[in-house]
Amino acid sequence: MTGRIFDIQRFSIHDGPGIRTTVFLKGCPLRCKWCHNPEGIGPEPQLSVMAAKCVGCKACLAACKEGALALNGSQKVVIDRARCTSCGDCPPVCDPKALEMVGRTATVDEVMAPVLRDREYYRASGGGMTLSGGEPLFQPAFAGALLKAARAAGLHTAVETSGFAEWAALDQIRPDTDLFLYDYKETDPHLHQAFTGQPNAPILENLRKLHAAGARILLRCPMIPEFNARKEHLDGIARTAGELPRLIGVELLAYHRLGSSKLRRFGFPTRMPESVKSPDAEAVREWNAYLARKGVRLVNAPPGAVSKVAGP
Amino acid sequence: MRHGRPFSRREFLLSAAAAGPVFAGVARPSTPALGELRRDILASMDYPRVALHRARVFTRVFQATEDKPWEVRKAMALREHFRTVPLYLRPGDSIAGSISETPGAMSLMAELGFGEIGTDMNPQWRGYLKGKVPPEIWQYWKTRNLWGRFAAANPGQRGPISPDSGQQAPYKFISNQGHLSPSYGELLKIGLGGVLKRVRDRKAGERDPDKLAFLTAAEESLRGVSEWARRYSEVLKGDLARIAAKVATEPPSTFHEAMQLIWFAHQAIHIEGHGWSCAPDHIDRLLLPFYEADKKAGRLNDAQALALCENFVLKMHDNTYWGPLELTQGLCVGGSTPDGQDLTNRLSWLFIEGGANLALPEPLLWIRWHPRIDQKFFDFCLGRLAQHTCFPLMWNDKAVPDGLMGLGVSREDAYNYIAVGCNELAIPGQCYFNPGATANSMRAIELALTSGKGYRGGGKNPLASPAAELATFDSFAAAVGAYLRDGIERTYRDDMLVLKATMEWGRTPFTSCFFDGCIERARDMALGTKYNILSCGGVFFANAVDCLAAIREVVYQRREATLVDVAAACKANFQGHERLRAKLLAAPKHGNDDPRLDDIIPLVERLRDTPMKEICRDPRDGARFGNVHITKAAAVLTGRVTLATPDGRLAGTPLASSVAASAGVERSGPTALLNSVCKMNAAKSWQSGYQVNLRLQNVMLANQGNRDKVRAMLNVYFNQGGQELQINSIDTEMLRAAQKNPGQYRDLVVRVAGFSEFFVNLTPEMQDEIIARTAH
Ligand code: SF4
Ligand code: SF4
Repeated sequence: MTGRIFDIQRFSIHDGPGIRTTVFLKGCPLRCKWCHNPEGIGPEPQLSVMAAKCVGCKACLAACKEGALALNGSQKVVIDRARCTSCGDCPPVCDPKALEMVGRTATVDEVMAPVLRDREYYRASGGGMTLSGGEPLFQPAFAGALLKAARAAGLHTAVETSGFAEWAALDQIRPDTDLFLYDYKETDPHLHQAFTGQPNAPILENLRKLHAAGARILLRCPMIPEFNARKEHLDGIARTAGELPRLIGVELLAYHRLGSSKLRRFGFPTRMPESVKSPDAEAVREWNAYLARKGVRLVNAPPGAVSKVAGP
Repeated sequence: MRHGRPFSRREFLLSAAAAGPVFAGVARPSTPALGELRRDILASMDYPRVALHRARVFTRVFQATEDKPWEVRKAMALREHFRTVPLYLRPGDSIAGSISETPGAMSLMAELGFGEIGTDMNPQWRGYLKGKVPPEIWQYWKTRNLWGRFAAANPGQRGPISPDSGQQAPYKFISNQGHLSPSYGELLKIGLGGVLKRVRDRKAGERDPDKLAFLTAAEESLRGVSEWARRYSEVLKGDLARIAAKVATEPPSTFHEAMQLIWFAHQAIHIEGHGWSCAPDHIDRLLLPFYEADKKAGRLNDAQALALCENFVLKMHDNTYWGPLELTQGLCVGGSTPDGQDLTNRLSWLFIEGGANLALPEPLLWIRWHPRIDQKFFDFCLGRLAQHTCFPLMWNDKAVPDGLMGLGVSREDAYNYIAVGCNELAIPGQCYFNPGATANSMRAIELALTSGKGYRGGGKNPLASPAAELATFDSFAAAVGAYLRDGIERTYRDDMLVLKATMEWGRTPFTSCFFDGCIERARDMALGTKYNILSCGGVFFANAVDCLAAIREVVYQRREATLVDVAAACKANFQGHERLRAKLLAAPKHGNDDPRLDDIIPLVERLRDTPMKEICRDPRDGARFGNVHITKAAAVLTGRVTLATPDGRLAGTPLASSVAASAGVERSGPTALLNSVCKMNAAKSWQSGYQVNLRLQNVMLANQGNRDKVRAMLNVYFNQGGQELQINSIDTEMLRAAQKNPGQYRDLVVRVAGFSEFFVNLTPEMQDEIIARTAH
């Protein structure tokens, strides 16, 4: 069994309990405008260009059959994305790693080897493995196999998901998943379609089913100024949480512009207007406080926002 | 932030946490008086000042006592110094006793040597000694002090340096060895008077002239210290006067008295010349009975005890100053007994709390982790780390005693170990750190690559086959081993010459009174303590691992270059060899838990250990050497003058300061870093200590949820045998800001490979190095 991943990150401490290793699976059916991992969207490997690392040796120019590469005036590589076919011929000749393919095919064992190296840390901290992406359920069989392998090794398992998947896929990984970190991106169906490129109805339906099936779920809500950071959406979060009594809680994730430098590396157009800034700590506190007043159980809320802060 | 790596969703949020980073390193003294004392001490440290009273007295007394044994003359001079040195007390100070007659000034140790120290760290202070040493002092001592006599006895070795040459002096020639911890248990029981009586009792009837000389010297210096304390009682007022008068001879009965007595003894040791890296025994354990008795009697509350602990920490800081260099004073608290009982007590908490409140780069604060450490105390320490940015540092009782026992230390004594200096180990009153050889693997690799010539030429006889003929990786490793053996042999020979001179002219009869058996045997500690464990210092371990790994992969496995190519590329600082450099850089790097290094790590250890064990023996009793990792500022300073290295490092850039990873190559997070360290054999290859630096973003320690995870991680690391750990709690943004606006960040303390410093005092280069070390 093989699948496509684009990173394995050890000592992840923000995605589920304890010390974790997060495996990032490649491929995602959504196109959120604020996507912070654009390299996770396409299922195929993506060419990353970091001109700063280029030493101007010209090896790649010869390797590229499409003539997509050139050097600029300061002897740094530039790429013509319109010509590049992501064939992968240039990175092997680029020793300084200015050109790199992001995304690779790996077997379950290849993924599990580094994951298992931190076993003692998981045991001591109540941590484990988290699948993220992209959308892990974009590769349901592979995700399922990884979760099974982790479970067999006695690890706690968590899955970060947008919930946009066949119910059968969710249902199939459910028994091997100790915790779902389930995204709730936008309440208004039209806006959801506009922001993410997909409807929210199937996501909500899956959420209800997952809840009914007894899964442990933490609802995670990215809060993006000028997009979904509105009272109506907060009300929607509160309403949804209210309908799901066994929900562990709600965690608000405030927007950050850290993804923008990555867009450039992969040649993606910037889709977020410059005006969208990370919210300040005060705004984040207010959102949390608003939800707290509505009786929502909050997780990892900033101090002062709610009197009692729970943890997953 | 990790640009270019996928962000977890939670990381994506980070703004909430990043919005308000805790400003680490801000002082919060617990009383206004301590705040004033702190300000006064820091204000006097703006420029290296030299105090001359000691040198004047020593010159006078030595001139008048030519016929007496050296150590007796030294003790007479010391006593005369204590009888005449002008006294002062800083505002807000409740503990009397200072290093010299001038606030913020270090005494010139004329009988040892002249020369500047530490100006490579602060080049703007080069020449601070110039014109400060009166010619009659220099004239008298230049052939008579330790350094002068060493130079006369060892023609060809570096000769005495004049105070006006502005030259760097090896510290051993301008201070005694230091790196020790006296044992103060007996002193607290019987007082200075009691110790003096022991010396006199031992002296009665003694006929052996050497023994008599030692005992006379001990007696003289003990009397001098008592007289010094009594003089303080005459100038002080109220309770402070009473305390000083009492502890001048009598044992203490209260917490404050005990602390004052320890301070007098400790300061006197410094003045005698052993102050470098001196730790005052297990101070929390020693003071506990006094603290408990005072509390029971209603004489002391915790706020008062904390204030005294802070005062003590400030005294140690006041004491650290030697020219532009800190003397790495340290306090070590906590730890366990050989059967695993936790020895952490209330005072361990108070010293950590006091240290954090003062936010000073010195003294260093250490804790000893052990499997049964009170996790609340451990959490408290990590929380204070967020406040203080680097303290406490940690040693592991599960690793250190094993190494010492391997060198013949009894189990009970091994568990009594203590931290001294940057990352050295000692046992109070029984064994002190003393380097006796150096293993420079990087130089050995260079020589192996260049058939013994070195990149700059000038190497002597080749000791192995020419590089072009080293057909296998094993033969290359053997060549490295041959050059390393040669280096160890030569440095051992040189260091033993220094040791011999120190045994003769570096005796310290006062300090010896606090080392087991010195009084009974009537013999100075320089001639041997209970355990004589010298150390072979290894440098730049992580670079050596990376170099061998890169050479194996690129030269021997992929056959993409030859050793000769690698040597040429290093020599050229990789100019015109960029692709080769990229290949070398792409090889596995230590610190990332890479299984491809599993055999290289023990190889690098073995290449040093094997010859070291054959060559190095203590000349006094034949004891085996331990291995130690040498750091200090070497990583940056040596890096500056080191050409490019086969791990892909460019000329002039820093070498590895931590044994965990070379500068800027750790990419896999802290668990991978710690796993890498655990592949090293602490007990067999690092008996005298190594050093691991881990940088954590402040929010990892300031936030309870994160801190619990960090604590869990550290428990795993120590349980798996990690010997030592130092954490820098840093916000990279903050460091950049501090670089831009030093004025606003005067208080920011960072740990620089073995010592800590105010960040703004570092050279821009060192600041960059700190920033470059990957933050997690
Ligand atoms: S191969 Fe790499 S380093 Fe060389 S020119 Fe191309 S991008 Fe630059
Ligand atoms: S991936 Fe292929 S097409 Fe694209 S730049 Fe590289 S060699 Fe050219």
